[in-house]
Amino acid sequence: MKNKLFLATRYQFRRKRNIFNIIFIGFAMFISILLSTYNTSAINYMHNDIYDSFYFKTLNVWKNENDLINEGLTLEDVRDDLSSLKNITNVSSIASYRDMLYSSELVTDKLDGYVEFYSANNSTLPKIVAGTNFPNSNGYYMICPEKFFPHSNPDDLKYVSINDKVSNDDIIGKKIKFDYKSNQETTNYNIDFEIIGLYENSDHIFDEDICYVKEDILREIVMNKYSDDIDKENNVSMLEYQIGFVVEVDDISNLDSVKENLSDRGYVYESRATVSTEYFSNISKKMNNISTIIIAIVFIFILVILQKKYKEEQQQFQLMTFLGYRKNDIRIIYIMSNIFNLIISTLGAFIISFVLIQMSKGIFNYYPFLFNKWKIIIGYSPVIALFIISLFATFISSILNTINLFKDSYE
Amino acid sequence: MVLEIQNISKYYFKNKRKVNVLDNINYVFETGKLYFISGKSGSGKSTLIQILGLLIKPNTGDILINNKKVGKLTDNENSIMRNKEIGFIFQSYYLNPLMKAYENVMLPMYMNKTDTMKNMKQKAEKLLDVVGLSTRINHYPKELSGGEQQRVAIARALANNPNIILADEPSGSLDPENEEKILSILKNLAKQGKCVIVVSHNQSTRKYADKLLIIEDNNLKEVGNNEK
Ligand SMILES: Nc1ncnc2c1ncn2[C@@H]1O[C@H](COP(=O)(O)OP(=O)(O)OP(=O)(O)O)[C@@H](O)[C@H]1O
Ligand SMILES: [Mg+2]
Repeated sequence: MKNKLFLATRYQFRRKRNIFNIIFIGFAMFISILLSTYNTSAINYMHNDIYDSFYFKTLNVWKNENDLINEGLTLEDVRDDLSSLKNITNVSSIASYRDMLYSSELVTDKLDGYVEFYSANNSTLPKIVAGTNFPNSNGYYMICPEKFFPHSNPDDLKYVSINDKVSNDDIIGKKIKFDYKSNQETTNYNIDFEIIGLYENSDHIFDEDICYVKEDILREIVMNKYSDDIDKENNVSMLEYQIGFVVEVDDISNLDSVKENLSDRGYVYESRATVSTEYFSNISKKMNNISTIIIAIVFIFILVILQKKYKEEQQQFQLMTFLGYRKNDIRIIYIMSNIFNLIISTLGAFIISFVLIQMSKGIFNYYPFLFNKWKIIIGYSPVIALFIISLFATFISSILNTINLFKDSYE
Repeated sequence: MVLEIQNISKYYFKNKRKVNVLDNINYVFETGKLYFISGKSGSGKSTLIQILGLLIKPNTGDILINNKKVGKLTDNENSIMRNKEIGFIFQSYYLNPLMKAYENVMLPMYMNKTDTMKNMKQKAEKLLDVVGLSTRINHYPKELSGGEQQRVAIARALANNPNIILADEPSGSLDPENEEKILSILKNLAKQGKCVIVVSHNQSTRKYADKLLIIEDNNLKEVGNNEK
């Protein structure tokens, strides 16, 4: 048995084609892993970031100013009306204030120090990963992203590396001064915000510069900005009318019916974040098809390779009978060598694809803004599928050839 | 006396017609002699060699090796007999391209389970020395000339020190110089006490033979004797 194993394995290392096989299968594995990784990541993305995310389920809704006046509706009437609509779970004006403020303390080489402020309350905050949410007391608190890039143009962030983020090791409890002016630039204001918490932003789109503050406080800032106007109260409430409400729909699948309903009732709406789920499922389908084709190619490839190997070795097996090898010994040697080939090629292929994947992960990490919205979930199912297929191909080829092994005799 | 055939007949069926190849032949091959078998193409030389080598069974008759009938042996016993008693040399050398010269020579030795790898390698090197290839031990077949490859094949045939060497046109694809070399090696083996049976078309190598045989009209006949 020892000698048989030796004969079956020792010389396989000298077969140059084996190296080619390993590289080919390794590459196929890598591509299938990549496709499957994209697929599972896309599905994960759709579930975590689209189906379950607050952003994708919310609409900005407002009513035309004239309609409001003509119909004699107050802001509260509109809120009640929206709340009564089917499939709407939450109506708030919380995000109705938005503003962008500048702090010289946040300026770095790469970041210009502008922060976008959204109003929020504890029920509409994203997930807090460090610190706390808003306390009951009225203070100038803000909650910032864990990956915080205060910058006015999100497009520029593509060229920024993860190391350029505002350090958040000791950021909680830090007070940051923001400066702003009234509309006509007659008055200078400044305000100190204390960072009390960090929210998770790895899964959300373009919020690396968004901080949340309480509605009253943001309202105060907006009022200050309008302080030059004669009728500032009125202007602010007009602003509220125009910005309107944020409504949360119970499920992403009801979004369309809610939109229809809103139009029918004379509302104007805007999606806060949109994504085409169809796009993902189409790509996903294509990926699956390609994976299947790859697996089929590998299957045929292995059959062809083993057939070639058999053709090469057939004469040797014939010779070995002349040299006094028993037929069963030869069959065992042949099958063992096939199994050995399978093991080294899948092992080698696995190592190759592992290295390639680590390399591509490195690339992913190098460009965080291209990929950090994605949780990369490596799909290993094609490795298993490819291994099973290889095993199957080896099995078929070995069985057929051992049956045929001594059919043609020496001429 | 070492190898004897008694009343051997062999026929094939071709297009449902019976084709006689060997018809009731008898002969006794002895150790220490080189036999030279000639005959027209298709006369049955290879068939006879294969029967002698226990590769195919005759339709009738017996083969005796060292006075023991081998006709009744099982496939596995046949294999052991081939491994221990018979060495084959073919026109094409059938060397394993993935194995170095000495590894090719070791191939028949693996059947002997008690031998160590080191021992087998030493034996293989010695045999390669016998055929004049001591400097080519670590070469792959493709790095050797045709004559050298055939000498590796001879060394391989000698691996288990068999008493019978069967060679089917061993120099058939070699130039005259290499042919001489091969035949003088075979002649030496006969001198050392082996029974060497060589099939050859080439009349120029007759001079090496102790006995000249021919297959004609399905019969094996002795036609000459170079013995002193
Ligand atoms: N397996 C087989 N099936 C049918 N006929 C066969 C088989 N093997 C050999 N023959 C026939 O038997 C006859 C003898 O063949 P053999 O190979 O022994 O001839 P040979 O003397 O070695 O010829 P050559 O000098 O060409 O090698 C030929 O007619 C051949 O066609
Ligand atoms: Mg022949």
